[in-house]
Amino acid sequence: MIELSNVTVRFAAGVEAVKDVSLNIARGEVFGIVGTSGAGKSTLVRLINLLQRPTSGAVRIDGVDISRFEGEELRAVRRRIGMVFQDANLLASRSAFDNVALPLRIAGRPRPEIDARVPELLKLVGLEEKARFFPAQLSGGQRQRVGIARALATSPDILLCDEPTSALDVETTASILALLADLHRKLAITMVVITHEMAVVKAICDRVAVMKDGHVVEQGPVYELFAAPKHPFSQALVARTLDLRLPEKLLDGTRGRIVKIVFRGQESLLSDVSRECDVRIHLLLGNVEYIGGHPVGTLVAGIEGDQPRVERAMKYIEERAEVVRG
Amino acid sequence: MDSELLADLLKAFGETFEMVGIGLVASLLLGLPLGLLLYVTERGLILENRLAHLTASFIVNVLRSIPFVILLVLLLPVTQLVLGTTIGPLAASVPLAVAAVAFYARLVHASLWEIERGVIEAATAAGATPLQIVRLVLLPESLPGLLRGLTVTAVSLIGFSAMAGIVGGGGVGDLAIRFGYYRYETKVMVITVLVLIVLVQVVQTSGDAASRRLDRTSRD
Repeated sequence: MIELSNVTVRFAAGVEAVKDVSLNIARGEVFGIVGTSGAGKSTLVRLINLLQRPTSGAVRIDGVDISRFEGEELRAVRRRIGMVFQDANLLASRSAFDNVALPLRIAGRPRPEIDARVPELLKLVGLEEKARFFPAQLSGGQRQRVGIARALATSPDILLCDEPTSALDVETTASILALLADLHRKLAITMVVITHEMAVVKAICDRVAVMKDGHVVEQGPVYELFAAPKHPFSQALVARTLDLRLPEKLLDGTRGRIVKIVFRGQESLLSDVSRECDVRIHLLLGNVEYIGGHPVGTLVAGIEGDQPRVERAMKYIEERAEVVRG
Repeated sequence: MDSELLADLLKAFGETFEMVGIGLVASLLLGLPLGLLLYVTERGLILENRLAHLTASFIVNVLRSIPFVILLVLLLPVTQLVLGTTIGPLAASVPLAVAAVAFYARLVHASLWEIERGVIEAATAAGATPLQIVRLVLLPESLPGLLRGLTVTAVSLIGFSAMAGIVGGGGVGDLAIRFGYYRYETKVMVITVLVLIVLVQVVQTSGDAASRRLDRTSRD
């Protein structure tokens, strides 16, 4: 549905924020773009509604290249794409109701339609009671809900979310992510989510692109990224979220060979290896996360037994999972 | 207070209101659009246009760098052309209006600067035309600031109008200069200055109150 092909954005100062990026986002999926700040994520997402024009390359929506669109043609495309911002970007001088009504007024919808539609939207984001409140009277999470309702006002096909939870605390982040997931289920809208938080990707995205210095270094299903990151930068990103550290003191007192195992799928790996190779496994530390319904686990264990058996056990594990440290 | 002075004061009051009023109307009709033009043509904004921005900025700066007394004299031919006379409060309103337009345009520009760029981006992303952005975003968001600017302009106009006596404009300030200063009538000077103080206080206080009422950025 959204296709970027060989897109480059060069700013006046000669800086290239986006370098030769190609992406294909399918209808109805939640596509994440992850990377550290300054990687070009925000510039990339702004290409989709042409808040940023590409220096070269094509931006296609439903097969139509919009990158040279101007005037009314461009505005018509923009009305089909909602956008949610990090700081909600609400009009401080207008109530929640009027903020949500803004895109409808811009689209020139008649008054009765606006009066009927806005309460619906506020209900959708759980703020039906707050229609008359001004942004300064709402919490950060509530402001973001208003921002989301506004983005959905004209029933767009695409929702762009630029760091939607980055200005929020952990609990509020969880509730906004739950809301976005819920909306995605109800509206079957195509979503593009920019974030620097792997937790966001894990929670709501189907596929993800990893950006570094303007390049997309890796893209694929979220589960693949967490289970088997290919690019060193993605490996570092994933390691930071899945990493488990063992207190040094504990290591000293442990018997057997210490291994760190990153596995996916095989939930019975430890009991299998114990039975097959006749070794004792001391589980020291473990974490299993479910990404898109599949387990991705990190385990630190000590393998105890005589030397040949431990070697066999190590081989057995290495064949079936990734051993990070022997 | 003798009745002659009272009559003079009332007449002067009327003249001051006339001059300040015309200056304020001109500020709204011309200064506001000029301030908007300065803002929207700025780099990265909705109607970015370097030439238009620099031209408007240059004109405003020139007008603002000329001392008002000189502007008063410089514009005499223009006043003659527009009104057919250079004498009286209406004639004095021409240079006052020019000074006020340039002054207010800068204040409008400054209060538009206070708007979060993200809000403009949100409206652009929703497919707003430049005119819709002005109407639905820029004006409502900057309204308290625009009103504060208008108050400051009104106070400045009261001050400037004192110099209108040079072209026979009259007004409260002119009364203070003519009677109090040139004719050493200290009592008249003190009274007129007191009247001016009260006038400025009333204008400033009511402007502040109105602006506060429109400001939605506080939590209560």
